[in-house]
Amino acid sequence: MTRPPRVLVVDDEPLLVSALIRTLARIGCEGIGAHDGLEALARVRDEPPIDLVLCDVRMPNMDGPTLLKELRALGAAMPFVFLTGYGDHSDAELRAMGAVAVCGKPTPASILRDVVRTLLETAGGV
Amino acid sequence: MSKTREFLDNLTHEQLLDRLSLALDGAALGIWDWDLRDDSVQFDRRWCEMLGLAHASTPMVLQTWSDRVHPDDVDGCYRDIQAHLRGDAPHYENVHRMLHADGEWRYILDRGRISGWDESGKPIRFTGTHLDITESERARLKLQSHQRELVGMIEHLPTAVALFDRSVRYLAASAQWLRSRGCPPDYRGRGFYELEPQMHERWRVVHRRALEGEVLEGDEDAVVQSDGSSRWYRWSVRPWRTGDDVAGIVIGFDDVSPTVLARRAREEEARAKLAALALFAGGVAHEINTPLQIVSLEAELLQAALAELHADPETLAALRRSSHVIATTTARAAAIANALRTLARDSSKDPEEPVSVSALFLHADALCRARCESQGIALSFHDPHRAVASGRPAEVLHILTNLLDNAIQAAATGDRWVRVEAEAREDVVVFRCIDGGPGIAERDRARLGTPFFTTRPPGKGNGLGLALVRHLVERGRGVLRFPTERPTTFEVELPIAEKPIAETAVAVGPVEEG
Repeated sequence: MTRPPRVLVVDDEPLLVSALIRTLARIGCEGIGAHDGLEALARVRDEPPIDLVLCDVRMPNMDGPTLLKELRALGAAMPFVFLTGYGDHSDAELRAMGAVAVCGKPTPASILRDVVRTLLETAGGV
Repeated sequence: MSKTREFLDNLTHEQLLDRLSLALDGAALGIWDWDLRDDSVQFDRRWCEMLGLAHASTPMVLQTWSDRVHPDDVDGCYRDIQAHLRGDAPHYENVHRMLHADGEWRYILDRGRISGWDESGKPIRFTGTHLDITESERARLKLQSHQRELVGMIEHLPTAVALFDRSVRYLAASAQWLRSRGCPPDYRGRGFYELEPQMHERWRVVHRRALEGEVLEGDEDAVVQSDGSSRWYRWSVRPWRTGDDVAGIVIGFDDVSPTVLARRAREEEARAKLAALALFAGGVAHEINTPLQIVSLEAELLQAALAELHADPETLAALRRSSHVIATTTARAAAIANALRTLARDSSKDPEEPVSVSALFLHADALCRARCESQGIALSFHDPHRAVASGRPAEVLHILTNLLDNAIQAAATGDRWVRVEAEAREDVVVFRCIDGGPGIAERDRARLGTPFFTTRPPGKGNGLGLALVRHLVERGRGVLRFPTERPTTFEVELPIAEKPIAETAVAVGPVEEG
């Protein structure tokens, strides 16, 4: 494969989006930032292909679970990872919604990279 | 004619009197012989001696007797005498007290009858005997007063108690029993089931078992009332015996509803307080999670950048040390925030899921490490089987941190070490929390896990930790075992996970790197 894997990073905290994009860059991923579910949905439509979504749960305009539902409705089947700081949903609930992994905030960079790399390899995208 | 009669008939008058005297001596009877015409009375020697009087110097007049009769009894004597004289009674009989020469009262059984009439048929002679029954009368009175006291005690017992015979018929009952069961005044001798035909079969079984010698008790049995509310009773049904045989049963009960309701209210209040506190702590943890995630990532990026930076060695070393401290401290803060977040979750509706013991231990370590280090307590975790239990992560963590909290407190006053172990068995994961503390006093063991029981000084513990642990363990289909000897070991058994955690769908917690 010639192009680097593209990871959509969705969080309403710009500093975190920025740090995540730079962290993923260290394993050769191209990070694309979005600050809520609506913006993320637009990115998936306008800038395909997206190989993985790393997404916050609670966000203004459109939250993580809704984004996941919308994406699946669009037929977008890329791996979806929740990065959550809230206790509203249990990890099991979030997985039941269709997320392949749930990372609690804060998760160390090394583990985030491991999870992303493993999922991209499993999906055969790299 | 019988031989005896023949023998007596052949005796002389003196011989007969002698025989009579012997008989009266044997029966301890004193004789009086009253002449109604002049109130002179012939008292015999035994009559006088019975009252400590010398026969020779005793005036043979009625006053000798009447002066010595207890003032309260004298009217009764005359009444009974009149009754016989009138012909209303076949003979005279009366028990009265008489003053002995030693100053004590004697109980005298006095019996007599008319023994002579004048020509007109008017009684002129009245003859009878005295018998000293002081001892048996005292015994009878003592028995009577004991009985009164016992009956009084049963009646006034501040609880509902009743005594039944083998056929479950009433023998005695306390006033509280009679009131609460609505017994009629003639309850004695009537059947329990006759008076309460609606009684549930379960109680009849309990009564039968008690009649077979068993003691049956309940601490806090809820009984639904006709208005739908519940009341709680403490009760006991036990046999009572005469010799070795069960003579019947004793049933007692107390309405403990006020105590139970008050305790429930206190528990509920404490739970609400705890939940509010957890919610607040959880809220704080949520708020700092995102900033912590940013710091954590930036610290790591900083370290990466420093690895490629060319500068003078001293500056480089200082920068690296700083970035390392930022990274490790962030990891520690992250672990605390994460553990708080897990603790604060209302997990009661969560499904059970596999709980990795190693992740659990990391959480617990993050919450307790600093406290242990500041008190010089060696804290160690051992998970040789890489065990995976089944439960609700927040609840399992709650169980462990509560046990650890107690262990650390104990270790601080004894040998300063705390060890946490997990052992995977066939169906269960066994957690052990062991401390080097001074152990738990024998008298306290029975009350461990009772809400609000604490050995800590005021303000240091609310007595809820272990009660909560027990509650959570039981909800998680587990078993909590209390320590019996040193070193103090609390053991918790939880179900083992059926399937191991899937490789990719892993819930990643904050795990320290390296």
